[in-house]
Amino acid sequence: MDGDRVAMNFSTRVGRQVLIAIPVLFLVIFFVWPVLSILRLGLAPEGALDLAPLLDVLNDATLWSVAWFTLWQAVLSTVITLVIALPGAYVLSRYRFRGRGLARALVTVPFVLPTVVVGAAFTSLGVSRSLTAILLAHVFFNYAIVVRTVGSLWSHIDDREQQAARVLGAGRVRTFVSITLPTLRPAIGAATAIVFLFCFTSFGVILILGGPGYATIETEIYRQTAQHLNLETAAVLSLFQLGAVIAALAVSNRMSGDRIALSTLRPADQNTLPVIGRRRIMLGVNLFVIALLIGLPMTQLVVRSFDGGLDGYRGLTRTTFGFAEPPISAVWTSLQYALIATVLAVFVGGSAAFALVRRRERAKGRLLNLLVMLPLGISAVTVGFGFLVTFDAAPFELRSSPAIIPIAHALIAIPFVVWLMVPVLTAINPRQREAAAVLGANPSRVWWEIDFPIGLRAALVAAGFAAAISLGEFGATLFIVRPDTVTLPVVIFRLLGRPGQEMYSQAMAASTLLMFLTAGSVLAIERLRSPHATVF
Amino acid sequence: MLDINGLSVHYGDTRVLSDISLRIDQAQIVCVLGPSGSGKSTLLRTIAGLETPTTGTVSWDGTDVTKAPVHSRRFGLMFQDHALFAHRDVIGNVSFGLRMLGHSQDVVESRARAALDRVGLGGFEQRHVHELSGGEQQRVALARSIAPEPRLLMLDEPFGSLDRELRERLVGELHEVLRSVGIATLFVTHDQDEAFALADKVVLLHDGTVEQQGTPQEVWLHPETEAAARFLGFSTFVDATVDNDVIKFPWGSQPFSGPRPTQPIRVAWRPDGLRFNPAGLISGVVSASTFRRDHFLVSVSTIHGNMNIGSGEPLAAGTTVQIAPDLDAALILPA
Repeated sequence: MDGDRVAMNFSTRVGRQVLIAIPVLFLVIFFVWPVLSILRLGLAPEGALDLAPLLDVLNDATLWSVAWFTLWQAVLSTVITLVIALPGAYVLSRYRFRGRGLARALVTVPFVLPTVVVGAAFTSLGVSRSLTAILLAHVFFNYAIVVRTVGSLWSHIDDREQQAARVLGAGRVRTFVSITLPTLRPAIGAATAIVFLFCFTSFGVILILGGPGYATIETEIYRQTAQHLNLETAAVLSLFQLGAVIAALAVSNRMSGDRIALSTLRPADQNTLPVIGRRRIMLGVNLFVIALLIGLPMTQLVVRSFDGGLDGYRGLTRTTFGFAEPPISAVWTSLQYALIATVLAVFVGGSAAFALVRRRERAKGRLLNLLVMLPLGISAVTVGFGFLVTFDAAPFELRSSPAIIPIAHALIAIPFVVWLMVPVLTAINPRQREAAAVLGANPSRVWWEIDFPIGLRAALVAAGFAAAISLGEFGATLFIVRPDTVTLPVVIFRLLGRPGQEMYSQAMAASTLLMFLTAGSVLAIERLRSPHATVF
Repeated sequence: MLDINGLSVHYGDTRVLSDISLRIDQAQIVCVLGPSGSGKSTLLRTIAGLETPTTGTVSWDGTDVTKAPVHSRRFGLMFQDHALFAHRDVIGNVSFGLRMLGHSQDVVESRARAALDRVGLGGFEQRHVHELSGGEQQRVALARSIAPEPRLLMLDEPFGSLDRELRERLVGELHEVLRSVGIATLFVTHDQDEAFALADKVVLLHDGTVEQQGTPQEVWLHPETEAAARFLGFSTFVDATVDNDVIKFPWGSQPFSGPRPTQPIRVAWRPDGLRFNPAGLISGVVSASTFRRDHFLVSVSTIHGNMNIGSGEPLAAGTTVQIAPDLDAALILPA
């Protein structure tokens, strides 16, 4: 008996170490190392500390204005998103109306839509090359984040607290400010932080919809690298970007750290309100906003892709000038990369999630959590740039290998995988593990019978997400893609950059294809989503 | 058979169980009865191996299993919240323990079905746990516990969350199931009706210690401590002394011919042991009347303390009454 226990403890201990080793190894090689390479390139390009590139950047007034624009467009985008999406979150989480599921699915689609598709969609509406286009696209993108994070909490809030406040004499506004808002604060804080980060590190939207007149740190890193071949400046800018993102993450962590206790939470399905009286107006206004802001660009994209009948789609099958292969072959390339990236991301992120749930409280666990979540904040462009300057020499000369692209995609998807899986795993009632043990399951068996199947279901959901991320990834791919095997988003970007109606139709057609590919993943998520996953 | 000897459990510095000793024989149904917070669940969890005792032993048939891992004990435990596996269907839940025993697929399947039939849920195999009503979940949990034929079955407040009508029906059914399975059973509840309906032996637990154990009749009729008496419905307590064949109450002496307890003593009555009688020696003023299904409970303030009396009619607060205590219904406790 005692021998058995020792053997069991040994095998579970080894299992846990493996669970930790997988993500740590992956992230050290493909995240920490590239970041260190950027650091070296920016601060010590010749091996010794050299602050010249840094001082050059600091003395460059143009770059200061780029940084300033990056900041204020992100703040403005976040504020507008919150103002427009919060009422939407309320209506979609609390009102009971026909088509609610459809409306919720519709607002979720943009979240996984590739930036190039969004760029193409807004171009099709004729609002490109302006600040308005950038802001609209950012709201389009991030509406879902607010609806999902805030809405999932809102759908559980017991109205009796508000009713108590009303009975005690508080007006509608007063009740909202003093009761509803404080209860929602953790969710609003989390949503604000994520939206801000996404807008701050926005790349494809700025590049496609802003045009040369609008530059953020992200697009500047790309221009310095691809057009001016000025790697030192790009490295310094990447370091600034890294610092800003880490600072933003720290602030949001501090803000959402003091969670308030929720006295009463109700099951969402028993917490909906019938749409009567003034609620009809509220519902109508919000559905109109959703239709206009989210439905219209996507519809217009599809409509414009048929401008010349099927010419746009037919054109994709022909080799056009400047492309080594017909653009349609990029679909196949993208699908292959997505498959590899998804498997990698779920494997590495899943291991991290399982390891995190087991050792959350310990210092090691906190360190792992930080390591896993950091790539979420580090922009895709930084990842691409880091890969570009790191994996160009032995023993990891991956730049010429096609493997580098799915690895980059997986790195970007891993935090999302962890983010989706951890809440599901922590929500497992510990009694279930105890019940399994009492029924005769040894510790490894308990894990295999309880944690694993529940985690697997969450992993399937995460896989849909990872696939969508990989299919649409643009910022990192642009840095490391080989000219002969381009992905679909890169093809769309190139097509959009060319003159002529023919190219434009092809861009719209390719964007439509990509939109349906990624939307397919989202719909799969909707169907598989576990009722325990309340974070997203 | 289960033997618990001098078991104590601490959570940090808090003592939850203190020096518990009890024994369960083959096919015996033992009920631990006590108010919430008395340590009932902790006792079951410790026997199952989910909590580690500070001192004391748990043995089965003379073998010490105090340090044996949970999964090797073959003790069944039905949790208060049932802890059904939400990611498995009904048959997946019920067959779990059988699979852990390493039986072949056929044996697992047929025994799991038999366990479901036994609790009256034949045909529910493919249902999902969240589709079941509270009563059905309770039965699935019971079937899951008995399917692998544990050496000891433990039930933690099995009817705790169910409404009264359903509870009464299920108590009857559980009794039949336990009798037909014939395994040693330990179950805990705060509900006296459940305990007395099911148990061969009742163990009264209060504040982490065993106040008393015995057959339901013994425990109901002769609580041995004031805590036990209060828990079992004695609500009027008066100090007195014994002198030969009389008990000297503050209001006078009454002849007494029971066993001679030590003096001084404490005398207790349930509400039905006290009567309103114009010739009664105790006078008091009604402070409240509350309706209790088949009678009214009248609280009366007297100079000897508060007394609770059962009455067929409510009495208005402020009414002056005379009370006659029935010595045959009195419980004599050492002071």
